[in-house]
Amino acid sequence: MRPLTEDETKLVFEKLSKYIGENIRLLIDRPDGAYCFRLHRERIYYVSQDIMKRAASVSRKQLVSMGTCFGKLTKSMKFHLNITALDFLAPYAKYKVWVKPGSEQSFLYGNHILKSGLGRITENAGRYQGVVIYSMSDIPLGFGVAAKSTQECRHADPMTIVVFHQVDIGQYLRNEDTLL
Amino acid sequence: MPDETKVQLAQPVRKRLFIGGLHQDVTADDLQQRFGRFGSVTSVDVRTKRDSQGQIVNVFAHMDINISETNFKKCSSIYNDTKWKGHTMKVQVAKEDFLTKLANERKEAKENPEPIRTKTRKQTEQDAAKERLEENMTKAGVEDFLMKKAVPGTPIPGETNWIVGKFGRVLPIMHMQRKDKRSQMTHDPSKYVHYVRKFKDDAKTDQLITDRPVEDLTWQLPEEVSDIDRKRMGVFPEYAHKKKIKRENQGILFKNESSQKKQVLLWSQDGNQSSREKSKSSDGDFEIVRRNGNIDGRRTDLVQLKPYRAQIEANVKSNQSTQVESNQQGHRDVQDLLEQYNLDSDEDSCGSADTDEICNFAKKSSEPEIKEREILTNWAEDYYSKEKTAAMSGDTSEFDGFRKEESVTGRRTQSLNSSGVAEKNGRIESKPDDKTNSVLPSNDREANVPARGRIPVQIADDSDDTDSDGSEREFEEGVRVEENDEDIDENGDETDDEEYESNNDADVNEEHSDGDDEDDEEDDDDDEEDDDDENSEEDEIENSEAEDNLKETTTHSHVQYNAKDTRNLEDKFVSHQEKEHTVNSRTETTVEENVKKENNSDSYSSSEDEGDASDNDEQSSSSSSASDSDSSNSSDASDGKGTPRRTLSVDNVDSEARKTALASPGDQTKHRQSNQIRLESVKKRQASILTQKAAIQEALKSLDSKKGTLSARTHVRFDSDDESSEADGTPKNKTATSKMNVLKRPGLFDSDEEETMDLGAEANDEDRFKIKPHFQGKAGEKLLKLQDRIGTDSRFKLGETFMEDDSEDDDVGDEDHDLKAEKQKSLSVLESIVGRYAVHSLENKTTTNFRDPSRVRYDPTSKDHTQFEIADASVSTGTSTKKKDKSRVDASIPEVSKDIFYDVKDLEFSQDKDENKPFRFFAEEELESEDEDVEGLSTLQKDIQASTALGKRQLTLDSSDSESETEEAKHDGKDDMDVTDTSDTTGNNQPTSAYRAFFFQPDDIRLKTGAEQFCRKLSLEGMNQWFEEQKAGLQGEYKKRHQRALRDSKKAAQLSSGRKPRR
Repeated sequence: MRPLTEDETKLVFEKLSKYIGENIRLLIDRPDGAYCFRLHRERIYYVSQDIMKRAASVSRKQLVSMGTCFGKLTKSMKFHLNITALDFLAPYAKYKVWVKPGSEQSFLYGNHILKSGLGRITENAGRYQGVVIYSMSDIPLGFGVAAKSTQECRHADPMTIVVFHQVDIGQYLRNEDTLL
Repeated sequence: MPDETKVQLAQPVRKRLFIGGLHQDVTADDLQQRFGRFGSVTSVDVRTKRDSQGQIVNVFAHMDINISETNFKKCSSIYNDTKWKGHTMKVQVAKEDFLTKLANERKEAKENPEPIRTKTRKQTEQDAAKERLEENMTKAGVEDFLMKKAVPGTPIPGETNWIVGKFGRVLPIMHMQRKDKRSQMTHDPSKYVHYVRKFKDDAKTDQLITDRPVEDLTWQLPEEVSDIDRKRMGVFPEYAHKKKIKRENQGILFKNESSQKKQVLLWSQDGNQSSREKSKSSDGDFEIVRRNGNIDGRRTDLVQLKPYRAQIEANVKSNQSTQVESNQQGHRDVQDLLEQYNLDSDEDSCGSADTDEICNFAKKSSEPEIKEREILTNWAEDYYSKEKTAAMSGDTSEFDGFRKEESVTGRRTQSLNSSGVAEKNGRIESKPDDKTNSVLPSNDREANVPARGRIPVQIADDSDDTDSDGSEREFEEGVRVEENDEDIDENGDETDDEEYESNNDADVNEEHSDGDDEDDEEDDDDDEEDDDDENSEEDEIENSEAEDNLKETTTHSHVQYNAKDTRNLEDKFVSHQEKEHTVNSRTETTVEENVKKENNSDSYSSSEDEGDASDNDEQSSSSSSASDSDSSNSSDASDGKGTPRRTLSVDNVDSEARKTALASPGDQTKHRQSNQIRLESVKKRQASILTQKAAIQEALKSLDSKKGTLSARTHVRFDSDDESSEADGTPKNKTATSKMNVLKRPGLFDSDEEETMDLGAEANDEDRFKIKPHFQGKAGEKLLKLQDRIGTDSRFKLGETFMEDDSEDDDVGDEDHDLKAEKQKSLSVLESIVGRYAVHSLENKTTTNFRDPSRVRYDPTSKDHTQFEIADASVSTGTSTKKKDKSRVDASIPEVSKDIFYDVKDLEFSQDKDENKPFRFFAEEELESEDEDVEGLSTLQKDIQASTALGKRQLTLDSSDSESETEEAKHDGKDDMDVTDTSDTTGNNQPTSAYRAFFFQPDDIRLKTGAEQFCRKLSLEGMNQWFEEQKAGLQGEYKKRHQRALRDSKKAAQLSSGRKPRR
């Protein structure tokens, strides 16, 4: 467990900022306590200070997880967001996509979202903008990348992919063993 | 500035460049050529790196070049990451060459030899210890003793289970066995003793320490406190009591005096009052000019008289004349006059003393006269000092007054002894015999009594108490005269210098205290002069005289109740000075001795003054206030205040008492009372003087440090002081000051605490030399030995590494700090990513907008959390309708079921009796109740089983016909029935036997028919007939089957046998 280096921080923030933009600040500068990002076993954890202090007493080998795992830092220095970060992305998401109930399941099985399954989409979402995907009842389901901008979506074919699938809550079941 | 930087940039600097990614063919010359245009290349070093097979991995070069900054930039921009011969070249600044670096270092080291470290004392000590150790080692034959770094916890060589603790303490490792002896525990003390805490000098602890007042840090043990201690602490048990008495005394002067102290106080008060009176006079009230003139006249008389021995006589005459005058004065002035008379009588006493002296002088040799003179002067000076040092402590003034008065009395007595006395005082003339009696110092009371006796005679003229008071004084003084004289002589010689110093102090005090009074100031000035010039003896004498005069005048003024005019005062002063001059001229011969004596007396007073400075101050304050009040022109007020003082000072007679005495002249009861009181007081005084001395000494002990700042507030005084101050007419001031005293009292304890601390330290010192318990005994010896060997080793000194900071706090602080820094860092990163504005635009939102999703826990009970529930309308409605249906059903059923259930239950219950019992098949009771049917059934079953078994057997076993017949015969005709029955019963009975029984009713037909089935319907013959008919058929059948069976068996046998031979 160690704090992130500047590069790592940059990586993480760049990725996060795709989804929540400047709202990252809300994660760092929280009114309810000190929170920080920590790297442990190539994974980035978002931890409150007191939990971190407690975790510090656990040896590196024994420490499985702490706080919220935001994602994984690959060896090629890329940051992959994890489904567990959804809790923190969803409330602050800048661009959202709502999926029709019919294609919810499809998405939750790991498929991209087609135009036909697109229920709603935030205006002005650009292409390749990170979006958080909700069900029509506003339950966050995961996040992905907009394959087309909002304008493009309007005129798109029903079978075209609108949002690339990145992470969905189905992974809690599918990738249970690799979540952490 | 920019120019400078430019110049700097243009300046070629020696640089070492790293040029990487070269082709293997590149040579140093190439490089030199290429880089030569940017600067002068001094050396190029091309290197090739090869792997284990000798293949060239890469080629690089180091180049020393003198290159300017700008050129270097240019160079790097041109060559860096460019391709040269197919390789990308890298140009970087390299680290300095190792060799050059080393050379530089050495050079530096040579140039700047190591700065001489100023060794701290600790270091030197350590070094010394090390040296000693090494020396010892060499002595012991150990060469090259290497001091290993020893840490607490290192085992001691050659000893098992001993380790070195911190501070080089030798500690044993303990092995403890558990009770069950299964495991052993080792306790290594070195692991537990390192915890040293360093107190951080943070604000909190500092505050804790600094904010706490010293009093809070100390505490008092509830020990038995001795009286002295208590007094030191400022607790005076009899304090309040005494006060009361004092006040009473104020009312009735000597009557209630219980202790000598009070007397002393009174005496001191006398001094105060005199000073006050002076101040009064100086303040200048304008009452009656005539009296002033009277006084003046008297004065002038005195002045006239003084010139020589005839002086005194003249003085006496003048007094007499004044008396006459007073007699002639109107009734309204009678009082004043009387008081004047009192004072006059005092004056007379003085004068008489003078006359006595003169007489003595005339009669005796010159020496005794001189002595008397001295005494006189002493007395005068004492009195003067008394007056002056109104501020002084009651004790000192007491003593002073005491002595002086005694001396006066002594004079008196002497004068009385001398026959010339009679001539001088008309009053005294009548009682020479009495006075001669009083001369004897041993007989205090007797002396007193005669004095008393005298008084009425004196009063005959004056009809006043004051005379009696004066006589009192005389008596008291008389008691002590001789002793005092001796003392004064002795002390005077010994302690001149000290006395002078003390005099100065006293004077200063007086000045402070009596700054208001012109007279006092003048006197003070005189005194100061005296102090300054020891040789100015004349001045002193003058002073003494002046004091006398002043006293007289002041007293006079008091008696007259007049506020004196300044003019009058001036007149007085003039007269005083004249007088003094005359006196001076007279007493030139006796100057030195006088001086000495004065000093002596002064020293007494001054020393005491120092001790009781606060008292003095109090008194002075009170006196000043009194003077102020006097200055206010209200004559009544001045009277009220002046009279008590007067009474205290002059004769210790209460003003009221005096007034009453005046009202009823010749009242002797009062005299008696006062007489008694005086006697008592005299006794007590002598006893208490000793104790007071002791007290003063104690008080002086603690005063050393506070000499410089003598103020009323800083000292704790004895009761007497407060009392005296209270005795003055200004209770408010007094109470205030006394309160202050009370408040300041704790100041005195400091020294005590210090003492106790010292004691503690001493005790510790003692402890230090005791053998510590753990070094006792044999084990202790060993420990001591080891300790000696190891303990002094400097290696084991606890270094800073063993200091533990306040771990948690520090950690927290550090962590916080780290976190903050981290936060800042991450924020800056965020800024770089998202943009500064975006980040800061959120600042205001953060608090309001924020909610932590991970902290949200669904609580079904709270209304807010309904948002987390999935709002599935259809499902919810469906379920709700279903629920409604169910609820409807549930609602209807209970109503219906109530009846139905009841009925059904009844039915069931009734049936249960009939039907359920059969269920419990094997319970005997029920079987009994089950009637025959069941029994029959059960038996039938058995029979059936038996028959089937038999039949099978019959079938399987080739039983003979006869046997079967016999069996059949045994069974008789039953068999058929059984079979049928069995066929019937088995068909019906077996699966549903229980249920069938359910349907039996009483008088069931089946039961009847069933019973018939068990009976033979045919007769025997008919049976036989039927048997015969059947017999043939059966036999034939049997034979057929039998033969068939035989055949089959034969065949089988043949088959088996046929196979056998084949094989």
